[in-house]
Amino acid sequence: MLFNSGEFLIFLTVVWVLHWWIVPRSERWQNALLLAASLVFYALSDLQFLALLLASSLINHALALHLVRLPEGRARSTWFWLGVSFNLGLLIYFKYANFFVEAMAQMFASMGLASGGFVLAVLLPLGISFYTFQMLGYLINVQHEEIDPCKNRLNFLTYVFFFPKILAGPIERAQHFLPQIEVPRVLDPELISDGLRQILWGLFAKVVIADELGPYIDTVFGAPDAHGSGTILGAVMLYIVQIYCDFSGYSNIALGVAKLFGIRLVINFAYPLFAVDISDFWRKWHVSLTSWMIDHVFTPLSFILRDMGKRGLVIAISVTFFCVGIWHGANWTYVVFGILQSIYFIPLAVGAGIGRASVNSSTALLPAPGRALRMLGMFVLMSFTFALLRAGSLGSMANIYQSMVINFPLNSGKQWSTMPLARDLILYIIVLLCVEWIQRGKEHGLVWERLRVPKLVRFAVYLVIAQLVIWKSGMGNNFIYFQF
Amino acid sequence: MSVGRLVLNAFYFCLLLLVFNLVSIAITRSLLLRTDLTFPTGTNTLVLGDSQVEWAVNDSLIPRTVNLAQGGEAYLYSYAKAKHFFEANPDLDTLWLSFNYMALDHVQDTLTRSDRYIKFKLPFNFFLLDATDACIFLGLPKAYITLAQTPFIRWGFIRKAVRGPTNYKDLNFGGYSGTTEQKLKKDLSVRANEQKLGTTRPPEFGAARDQVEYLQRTIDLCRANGVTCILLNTPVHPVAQKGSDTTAYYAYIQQHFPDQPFFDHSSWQFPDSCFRDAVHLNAHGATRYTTRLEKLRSKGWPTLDRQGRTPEERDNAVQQQ
Amino acid sequence: MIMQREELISRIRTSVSNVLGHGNFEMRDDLTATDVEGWDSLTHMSIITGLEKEFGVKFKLKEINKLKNMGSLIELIGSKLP
Repeated sequence: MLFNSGEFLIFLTVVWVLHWWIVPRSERWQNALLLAASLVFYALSDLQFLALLLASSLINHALALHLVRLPEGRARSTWFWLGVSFNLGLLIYFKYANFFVEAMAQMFASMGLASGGFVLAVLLPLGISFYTFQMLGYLINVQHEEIDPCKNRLNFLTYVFFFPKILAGPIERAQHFLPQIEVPRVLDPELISDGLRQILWGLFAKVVIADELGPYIDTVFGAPDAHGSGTILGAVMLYIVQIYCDFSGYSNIALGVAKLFGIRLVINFAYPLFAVDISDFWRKWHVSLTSWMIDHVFTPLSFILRDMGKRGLVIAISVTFFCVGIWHGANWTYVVFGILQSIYFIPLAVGAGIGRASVNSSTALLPAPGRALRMLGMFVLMSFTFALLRAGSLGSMANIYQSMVINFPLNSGKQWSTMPLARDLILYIIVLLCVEWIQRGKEHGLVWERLRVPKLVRFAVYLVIAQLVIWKSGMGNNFIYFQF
Repeated sequence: MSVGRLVLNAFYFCLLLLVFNLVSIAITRSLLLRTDLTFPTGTNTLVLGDSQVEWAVNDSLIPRTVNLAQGGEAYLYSYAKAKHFFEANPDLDTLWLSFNYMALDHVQDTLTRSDRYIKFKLPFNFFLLDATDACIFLGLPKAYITLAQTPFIRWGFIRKAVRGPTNYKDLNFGGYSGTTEQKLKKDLSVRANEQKLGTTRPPEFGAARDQVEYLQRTIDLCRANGVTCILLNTPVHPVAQKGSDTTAYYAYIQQHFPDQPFFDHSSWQFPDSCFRDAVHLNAHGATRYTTRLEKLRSKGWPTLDRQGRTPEERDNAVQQQ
Repeated sequence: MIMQREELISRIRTSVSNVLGHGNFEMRDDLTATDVEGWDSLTHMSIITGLEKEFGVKFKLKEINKLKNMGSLIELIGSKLP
């Protein structure tokens, strides 16, 4: 069920009314309702894997409780690693089995050996990357005594299944989420109003911009040979805008929907398109994944290797971003994506740049020229890198870059721009960037604090956005990050 | 902010949104209904139906005929079009209506009720529907969203209609479109594969409720307006014919339309070069087919054999052999 | 020799400043990494290593992960000193 569908609107309204007006005002009833709604939501999205997710959640719940009963030592460590293996095993099987089988077959073929015709076609459960990491993180936190295990099975299942985040995150920490559902929620009109505005902003980014960009970018990436350099360059630069609007839009909707139930999820995007360097970028892009990787991959690794100095730091960064890359999926493009990110970090890690990663604390309307240049540089660098996530293969990516050069007007006689972008879409992108720049210190684009905007104008803004969303809805695509 | 204030704000918001959308839909409908639906003088034949007829009848080659068929058109929309065009064009005396091997197969009700076809068809045809017809969409959320999107989708037409008069060609809801695409080889290969794997689903001809209802209504409408309704089965590739449950098809016609004029041209022998795919003619095939239709029409529709030959043509062919 | 708290805080401050390249922060118990410019995951381990060298101690990962603020870091180092 997509967030931007009529069915979801009906579903959400029904659950919201039941949550605040019908069920008794206790956390037990509220959580039971949220869990039931979440199970229905997941079943409607991916019924065949509901049982798997339920089983996995119950196993993790029981395992965490078992871990704390054991004293520190070999037995506890063994159970912990069994749990990690179970979760990672599931993820590896569903996400990477096909890739490994195909890679092995290709390897055998290149050696002149038959692969026996073995073909694997494993279906990917929706949201597996997100909820597996969530449960892994939970187990790790329990093992390291950072949190107590959740004894209440209802609460734990509500945490795992909570429908706004089950399919595409954010990857929520138990220590952040569970305390919120262990007490009865009280209807907070301000929070709900903020949630509605956040949903609207998310829909604007996702439906009005990301979905409209989709067909344009698909056409160019699908046949780069047929397009002029300008169009190919435009598509490459716009892909990061598309994926940002798609994913941040989805995250804003998820956060907004959660607020309707009195629950705050972690912020997943903090305006990364305005980042000034690589460290700044990854502090702002897909924050829940980056912070998970930092806490559970980078920090332990850099701790173990701390005596190796800068070399240890580089190794830890490389492994972390390799994991970030392959988290996205089983393709060499994701591997290269991860490797490139760690290469970008090396100057920062080994050079004078370390420790100087800028904090975006300036509230000036216009950025300083130096800062603006750095932002532009980062944007261009990341555009070219993120295009890897869109290209189906390394060969395809190479073809795109090659076409960008070969199809230059002077070489090829092709026009610079063979497929202009719709003017209204350019306008929406500019509006989004301007609003988010002005609002960069706030959670989302429609927070009115410290802005002297009359109520009537605010209302008009909501109406315009809502109408645009209605007009553009269903014209485009699914959420990009569903595939991850 | 109090809960009451929040609920009130949300209510005003939804109300304003609803009013804006209703007004814009109403304005769009009114502009569409103002369209001049009259055909060129002398037009007496209207062609309606789905893509098989849309691509097969080139109305620029056949006088006094207008083709307004469109790919994926449900009989609901053919009926609605017929109603309005009969009213605007009293000289119409013949309707050629597509009636192919899949016309009443149960899967064809998706043409009326599925989200996909609501999205593609409703913005272009909604203004033709009266209240009874529109009731089909009452329980379908997609219809409401699509209607709300209609002013945006038809923005080009609205701009034109506001500046000056519009005619039926501005409605963009059908008409001959000759195709030069070559998909026959691929289509035949897919069909052969399905046959081999046994994945071809046996059709259920006559099970499409909406299609059956609106086909009957169209026939009744023609009768009431003194229009001859001819059911037309355009030429298809022999492979497609073999793969269709023609027994159920002809049995249905025998049972339900024994007296209905029915031109079954499905077995006409056209070379592969005339087909876009196994069930559609390409531009070259359309030229050949339309020219043939006009010839037969000028001779008063003589009786033909299965290959589309008149008795004289059949005798000549036998003699030549 | 039991180190005085003031001396401990001063030496921690110096060690952290050496890694970050500035001393633009106030040493208080509720200070966290987000309050200090440049103190992020990249510099965190360098700071930890610097402190280990400065005080001749070795931390466990579990101990590092449980640190909430400067106050808990001061306590942790203090607990490891003779």
